[in-house]
Amino acid sequence: MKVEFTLNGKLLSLEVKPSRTLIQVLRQDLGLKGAKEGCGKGECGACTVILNGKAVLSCLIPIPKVQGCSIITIEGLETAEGLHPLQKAFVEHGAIQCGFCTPGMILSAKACLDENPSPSMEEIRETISGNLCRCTGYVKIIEAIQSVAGEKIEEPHG
Amino acid sequence: MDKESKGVKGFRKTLLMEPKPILGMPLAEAREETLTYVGKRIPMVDASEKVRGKAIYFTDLELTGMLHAKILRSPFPHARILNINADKAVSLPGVKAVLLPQDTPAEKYGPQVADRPILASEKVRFVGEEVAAVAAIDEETALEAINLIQVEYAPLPSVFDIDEALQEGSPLVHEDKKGNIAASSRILRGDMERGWKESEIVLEEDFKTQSVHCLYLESQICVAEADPSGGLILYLPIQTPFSTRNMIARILGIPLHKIKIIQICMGGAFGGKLDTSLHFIAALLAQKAGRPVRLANTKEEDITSTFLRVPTHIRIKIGAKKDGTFIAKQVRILADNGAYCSLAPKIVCTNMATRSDCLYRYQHTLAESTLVYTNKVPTSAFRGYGNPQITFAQESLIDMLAHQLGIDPVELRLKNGIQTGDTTIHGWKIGSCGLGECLREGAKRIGWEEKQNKKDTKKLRGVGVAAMIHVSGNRGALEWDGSEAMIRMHEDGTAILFSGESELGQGKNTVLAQIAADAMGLSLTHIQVSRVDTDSCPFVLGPYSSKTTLLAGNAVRKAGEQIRNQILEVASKMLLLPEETLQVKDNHIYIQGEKNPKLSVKEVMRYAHTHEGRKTLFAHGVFEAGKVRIGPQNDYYGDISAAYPFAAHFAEVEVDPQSGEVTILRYVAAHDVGKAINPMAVEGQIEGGVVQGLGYTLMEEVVFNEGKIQNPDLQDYYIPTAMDIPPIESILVESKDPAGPYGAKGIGEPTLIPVAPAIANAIFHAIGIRLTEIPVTAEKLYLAMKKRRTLSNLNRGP
Repeated sequence: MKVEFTLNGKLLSLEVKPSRTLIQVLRQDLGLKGAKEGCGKGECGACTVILNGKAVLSCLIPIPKVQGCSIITIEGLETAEGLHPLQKAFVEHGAIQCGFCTPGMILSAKACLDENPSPSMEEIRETISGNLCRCTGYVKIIEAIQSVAGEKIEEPHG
Repeated sequence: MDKESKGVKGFRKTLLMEPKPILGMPLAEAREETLTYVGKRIPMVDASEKVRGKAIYFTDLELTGMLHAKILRSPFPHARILNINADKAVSLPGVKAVLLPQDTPAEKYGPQVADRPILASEKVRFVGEEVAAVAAIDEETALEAINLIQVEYAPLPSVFDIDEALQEGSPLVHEDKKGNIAASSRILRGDMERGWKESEIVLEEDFKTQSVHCLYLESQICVAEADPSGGLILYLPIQTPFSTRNMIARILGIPLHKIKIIQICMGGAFGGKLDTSLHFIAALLAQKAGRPVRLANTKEEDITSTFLRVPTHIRIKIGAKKDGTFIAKQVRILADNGAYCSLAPKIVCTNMATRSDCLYRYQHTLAESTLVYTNKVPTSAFRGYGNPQITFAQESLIDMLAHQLGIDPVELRLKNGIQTGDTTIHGWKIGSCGLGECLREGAKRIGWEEKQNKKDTKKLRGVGVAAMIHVSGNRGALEWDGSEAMIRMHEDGTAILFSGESELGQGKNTVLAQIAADAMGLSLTHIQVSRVDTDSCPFVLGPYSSKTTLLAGNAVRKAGEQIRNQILEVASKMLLLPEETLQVKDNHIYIQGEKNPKLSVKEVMRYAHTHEGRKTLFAHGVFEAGKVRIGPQNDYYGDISAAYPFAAHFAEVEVDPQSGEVTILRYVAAHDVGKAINPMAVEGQIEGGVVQGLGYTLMEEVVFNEGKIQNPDLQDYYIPTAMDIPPIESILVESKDPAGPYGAKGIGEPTLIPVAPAIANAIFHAIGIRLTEIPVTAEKLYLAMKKRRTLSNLNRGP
C-alpha cells in the first residue's frame, strides 16, 4: 500500500506492506536508527517518536495509521543552529550513560514540554515513566528536563 | 573545603569531601593544580552522538548480505533428546543455514568450568536452552524455519530447588557431577570454637535472596562474519572481548590472528554481558552460510536464557563482646548455579565467601559455600559479583546486633570498621579507607542522630544504614590483573587512544580520555578513544570488578606521560633548550613559568615527521596490579585487589500501615571513590546503582514454575521507572588510594551493594519487623504486619 506522512518536516510517500510497524519502516526502510527497539512490545519506551505532537511507541503503530500524520524522530531535532535545548541539556547534565533509552526519553520530554512548557517535577516523572532507563537512575534525566522547562524553544518542525 | 550543592529543587545534592590527612599515607598526587580535566564535571565524550540518535549500537548494524538467525530452544527443564529432524527447515525457501548439535564441536565451553555444549547434545537441562538454529534471509523466515524443526524429547525428572538438589537420590543435572555440586569451598581463619567462647553475644539468622536479571536495555546480540580464509569477525557486546576471542579460537580451532571481535555502542551490561551463548552459534551459522549472520535475542529470550543473579540461602552467625567488639563470624552459603556454570563458582566460593568479612576487624571467620546445579537458567554476574547477597545478610545481622546491644548501628560499624593500613582477615592490604568518613558524613546528611532516636509516632517512618567494602580489580581467578593502553600521535597534533576495555555506557571512554588529556597536556578535543577491537587494542581482561578507572586509568596515564616526554624531546631539539625547562599544556609547548607558548604540538609533530630520525610518536602503558592470585592453592588468602572502595548508605523510609507499601523518603549514598576523576559520572554511577538496588530490594524477582520463567517480559518483570525513585544524595569521599590514578578507585558495583540492607534496616526501624528475604514486597510486609496484629491481639486475650 501507499502511505504518505510528514517525517521531520519533509513529506514522504512510501510503498509499504500494511502489516509493518512504524519502527520497522523508520529503521529498515528509511535507515533512521535513532528509535531503538528495546522490547518490541511497547514496554520499554526506547522506540518513542512524536506523532501529531504526542509521544507514541513506534513499535505498536501499524504503518497505515500514520497516513497523513506528522512524525518527529530524534534525527529531526537538530537544526542548523545546533542541538535542540533538550539534547544539549541531556549532554550537559550527564543524563546519558549507555544512551539506548536516550532518543525515546528526549522525545517523550519534548512532547511534554511542547504541551506544557513548565511541568512540575511530578509531571516530568510521569511523562517519562514509560521510558525505562537501567543505567542512570533517572535523576540526571529529570534534572536535564527540568533545566529546559520554562525556556522558549524555537521549533524546526512546528 | 570544596563543598558543592547543585541539587535542582532539592532533588539531588552532592557533597564532595576533600580528604582529611591520614597519618602515614603518602601523597598520591602532588600536582593537582595542574590538572585540567581530571576531577572535573565533564560530559561524556560520546554524549553528542547519543543525543542525536547517531550512535550505532549492535542492534543497528547492517552488513551486506546479512542473514537473520533464530534459535530453537528447549521447552523442557530436563529431557533426553531422542531425535531431531530438520528436513523441512532446510528445504524452506530463504533458509541459508541450519545448525544442529552434530554440526558443532563436541568440546564443552565455559569461562570457569567447561560444562556447556554450544547446542544441547544428548539432553536439555533448562527451559530456554539452545537446541538448534537457523539463518535465513529475514527474521520471519528464520522463525518459520525453527518451528519446522521437529525434536523428539523424553522428559526426565527435574530438580529446581537447591535443598532438594543436594538430597541423595535427586535427579542429576550432569551425570558426572555427584550430588549436583557445581563448586564448593570451606575457608577458615582463626579458631571458631575460641571465637564463640570469647563472644558474649551471638546472633544467628537465615537470609534469602532471589533471582533477578540485569535487564540492560539492548538485549544480547552477535553479528558474525566468516571470511573465506577461515577467519571470523564478530560484532559482540561482551565485557570480556579478549578472553572470549581466545575461547572461540580454542573451541573452533582458529588461530588468534584470524579472529577479531569488534565493539560499537553497547546498550548496557552490568555484568550480564561477561558471558554469552550466542557467539558460537552465530559464528558457526556464518561459516555454514558463507554470509554475515545477525543473531539477536528478544527480551523474552534474554530473560529466559541469559544469566540471572545468583540466588542464595545464607545462614549467618556473628559473635561479639557486650561492648560491641566483633569477634567471630560464620556463614553457610547455598547458592543456585542453574544448569551450567558461568561465573557463579568464583562468585560464590571466593567472593561471597570472603568479601564482607574484610569490612570489619573479625578475629575468627568460617565460610562454607556450596554452589548447586538445578534445571534452571544459569546464574552469573550482576553488579556486585556476589557481594550484594552476602552484604544483605551481614549488614542486616549487624543491625540486629546493634539493637540487641543497645548500640547505635553507625557507632557499631565505626567501632569495628577496617582502617587504612590494616591487613584484613583474608590478607587484603588496605591502602586507603574512607569508611569512617562515609559513615559519619552520611549520618550527618540524613539527620541520623535525630531520626534514629526521635521517632515520628504518627507515621511509620524509620532510618537505616548499611556499609560495604568491594574491590577495584580482582585476582580471584587469573595469573595477572592489570591493564594496557596505547596512544599514537597523529601528524596534526591530535592523538588516538587504544584501550581494550569495553565501553558499556559506564563512561570508560570519557574517564580514560580525561586522564590521557592531562597526562599528555593535550585538550580533550584532541583525543579520540578508539573503539574496542581485539586486533588494534592491547590485551586486557575487560571491565568487571569495578576496575577500569584504576587499572586502565593507570595504564593510560603511563602511556600519556610517555607521549608527553616524547613531545618534549622533539620540542627540545627544535628550541635548543633542555627538556626540563619545557612543559606541554593546552596543545602547546611552554617554557616553564612563561605565559606565552613557544610552539604548538602540531608544529612539533610536523617536525617529528619530516626531520632526520623521523618517527611516529607512540606509547604503550602497562599497569600491573601486582597482587596475589587467590584460590584454593593459597586457601583464598592474600591481597586480591589493587585497592578497595568503601561505602555507607542511608535510607529513610515510610511504611503504609494499610498496604505495606514502602516509600523511600530520602536516600544518601556516601562513597569512598579514592578520587572522583569525573564527579558527574561518579554521581551517575551512584544514582543508577542505587536505583537498580531499589529494584532488587523492593520490586524485582524472576519467578519460576517448574523451571519455567513466569514473567519473562517488562510487563510482568518490573524494574524501577522514574515514578519509583526517591531523592538520592551522593557524598563523594576522596581517600586518595596510593595505587589509583590520581588516587582513584572503582565505583561501578559498590553503588548497588549496600542498598538492600540499608532499606531493610530502615523498615525494621520504622515498624519493628525484620524481613530476611528480598524482594521486600508490599504483600510480604502487609502479611507480616497482619500476623503481628493477630499475635498481639491473641496475647492481649479476650
